[in-house]
Amino acid sequence: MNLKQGRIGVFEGVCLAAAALCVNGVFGLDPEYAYSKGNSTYLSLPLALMLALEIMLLLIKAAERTGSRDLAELMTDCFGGVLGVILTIPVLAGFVFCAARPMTAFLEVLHRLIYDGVGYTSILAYVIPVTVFIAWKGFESMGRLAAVFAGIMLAAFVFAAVSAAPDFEVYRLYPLIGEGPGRFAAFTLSELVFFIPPLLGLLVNAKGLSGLAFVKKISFRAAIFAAVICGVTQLCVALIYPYGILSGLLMPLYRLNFLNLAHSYALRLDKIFIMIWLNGCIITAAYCIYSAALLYSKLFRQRDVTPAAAAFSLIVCGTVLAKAGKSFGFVYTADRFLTRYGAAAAAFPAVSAALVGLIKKRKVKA
Amino acid sequence: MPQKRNNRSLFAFDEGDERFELLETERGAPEKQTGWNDSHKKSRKAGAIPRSVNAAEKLLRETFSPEINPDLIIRRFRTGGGTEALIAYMNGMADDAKINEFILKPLMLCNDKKPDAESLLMGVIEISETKRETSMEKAALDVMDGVTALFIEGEKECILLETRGFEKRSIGPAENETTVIGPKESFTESFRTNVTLIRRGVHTKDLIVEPRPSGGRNNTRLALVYRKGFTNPELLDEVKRRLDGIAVSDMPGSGVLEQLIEDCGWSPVPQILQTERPDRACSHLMQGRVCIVVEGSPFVLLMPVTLFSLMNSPEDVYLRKPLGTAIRLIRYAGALISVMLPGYFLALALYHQGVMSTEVLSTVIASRKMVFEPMGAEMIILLMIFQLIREAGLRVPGSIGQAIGIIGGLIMGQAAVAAHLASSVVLIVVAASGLGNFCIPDYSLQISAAYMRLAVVISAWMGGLLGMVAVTLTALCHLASLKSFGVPFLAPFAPKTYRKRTLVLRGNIGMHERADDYANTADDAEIWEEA
Repeated sequence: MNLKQGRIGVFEGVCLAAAALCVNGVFGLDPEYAYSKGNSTYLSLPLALMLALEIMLLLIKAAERTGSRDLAELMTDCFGGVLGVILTIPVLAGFVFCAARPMTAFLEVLHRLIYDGVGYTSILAYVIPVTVFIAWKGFESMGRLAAVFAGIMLAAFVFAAVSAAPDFEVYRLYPLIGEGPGRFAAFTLSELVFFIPPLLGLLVNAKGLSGLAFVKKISFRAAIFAAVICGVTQLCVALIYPYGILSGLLMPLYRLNFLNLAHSYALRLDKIFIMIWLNGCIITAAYCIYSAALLYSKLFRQRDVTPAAAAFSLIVCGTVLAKAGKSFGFVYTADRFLTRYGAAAAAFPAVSAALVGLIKKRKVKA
Repeated sequence: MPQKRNNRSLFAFDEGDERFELLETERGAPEKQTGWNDSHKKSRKAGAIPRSVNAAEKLLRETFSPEINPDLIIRRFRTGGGTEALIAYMNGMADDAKINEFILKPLMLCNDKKPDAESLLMGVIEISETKRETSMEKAALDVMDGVTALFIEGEKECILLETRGFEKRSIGPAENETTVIGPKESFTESFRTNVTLIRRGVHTKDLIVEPRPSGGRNNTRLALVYRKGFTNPELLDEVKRRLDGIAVSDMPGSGVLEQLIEDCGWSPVPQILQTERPDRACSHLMQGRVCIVVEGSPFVLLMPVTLFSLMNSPEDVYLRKPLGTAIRLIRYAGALISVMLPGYFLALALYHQGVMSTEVLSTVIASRKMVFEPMGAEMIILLMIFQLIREAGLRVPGSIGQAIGIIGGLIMGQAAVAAHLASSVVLIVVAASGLGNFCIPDYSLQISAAYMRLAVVISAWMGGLLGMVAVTLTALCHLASLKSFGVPFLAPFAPKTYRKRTLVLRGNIGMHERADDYANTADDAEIWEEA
């Protein structure tokens, strides 16, 4: 066993990245937008994941070519100091978005369906300290924690999705790809915002994953695994609920149990499942916060990530609270905007860095 | 350059690749000992053995003050050839008969006119274990331990003769780690007996018993036991380094030593295994772990450990596979029930009644009809009472302890329900959780689980399942970050390592052909080379 400090292995890396991708893919979606004209998420999500993986592989290739060891180095190698920092801002925003979006969904569910009427702040008081603690403990602990929860989360996904199998109806898939190929393509591209940041997190933590070769291996496995989970879960949901109902439904996966298991003891598992997925959401948020803090610290040559992690935790907490409480209209608008068009902002720095890196002359660093 | 622990960044991401986890927290040479230890070293250098017996006697009298400390016996005599000699030993620590028969008698019959240490050892003294010593300080330490020192006129060194013969407890059955099948022997307070018990279990040429200074002012003897060439040398260095860094006034036993050398002192979870069973110690030694035997302690320390090794019982391997597997599953289920059940029940009863079936809910409501205190308080009070009974049962003699258990468990419980101080359902939950706690084989881990249970109950009372998630995730994150001598505490599951042995299930004994991967023993040498 390789006992290097601060490193995690392939298994933990895959668990961490897959958990972040699945949580974002299944719980991060905006139902109003995703199911407005039909439900094609079971196709578009895996496709978006494959696109994100392709961008990631290009970035890794560019990093190998430029001799960069992680994303921070790649950005400065490709664009220089100032432009590199400017182009990294959307990436940092992407991390905040991916940490806050699923947490907002969970906060909403907890507020409306589990703890009826309990304030958002009271609920967040339990969630945020744990998230900050995990981020504070660092990448190693986070990876191991993801490995501990991976099996339980997977079991919860499979059980929740498969339990509704007797009620599956194929006709509910109509219309097959929403309003047509154009909208389907646009929707697929818009979903990149959920998948690019978690994958970029691996590149930010490249050293913690023992180098680019392992990042490549982990990205590939995590993306394939997450594509299957997201695709199957969304297909199960689509086979149960027509898109008209889905667009107004809060966390449909949570609701699946009510259909078939209403008269059995297994129905009682719904709240347990939501808590299991909440664990995944917290780990995802901690991973995104830590990645953002590490990227920031590397760009600005900070030796300690703690202050940056604390700052990003505050930003995520504020965003979640503002979005859930609808106290600031602009946050709500920004969220809607990012859900639809954020993919462009998230993909632009990554794609441009990949292209510049691939065009630039090969460098070998000592 | 040695790095100080305090200066280390919590999120150190820019450290060099060469920095190995085993040396993660405390790197480099240990800090120099200060205070009493420095004077200790100086006096050690100053005290050479004088050639004159008179001077040696004077030195001994200065050191031990025999006029007010009659335990030290100083016996002057002439050998058969007329040479002045002196023996010194501690009364009660050394065997008088041995001294008379095999040291004094042959020396007094020896006709050599000018005997030296060499000739006496070769042809006169009839003691098998002997040593020549030039330092008065070291000789005095050995004398305090039951060794007899022999000084001969004109010799610049003394002869130390193994005559230890103090009273000690005989080997008895293990009291805390009992098994139905398997050896009944346990360690005693005697250092030598404990080492012998280990040697009897590990018949390998590479077994080393290396004496080390304990770092305590009371000069407690301790020894590192390991398999040379098999145990990870970096692990061994790290253990030695931590032992060298100890400077305390008193080292009463293994429990104190454990706290001085473990990775995270404030963690409730043990990072070193204390066992009283020689078979368990031998099994861990064969796995490439390091063992520390401490004089006066009936427990030995084993390191590194993981959560799964703490959850294993020696009996597992003595039982057949299906039975061993079943017992292990029950143990893990017991541990889970112990930690989670009271909190889970409280969360459902107070916040998520919908998760309970109507029948269960109505039973709970009916049982709490006349109980005046809130359910959370009731649960905490009952858990406290359970801990009280347990603690009281442990501290009183055996038969009374059993009586306390019966009185506490049955009569008090029954009376509390009858007096409407507690509900029967909550009492059953607490009792089940208490029983589950006893399934955990390690005593320190049992206590940790009991406190973890209390934290889960409080959080469930405050926030239902959400509170439980918060506390459980925090605790698991702590366990995930915890290390025992560089080995992650949740290995070999997280991080996942190569293993042939099953983790929770017993598996085939045939799978035990090589040591665990995380121990990085010589078994892994080929894998390292390939890497």
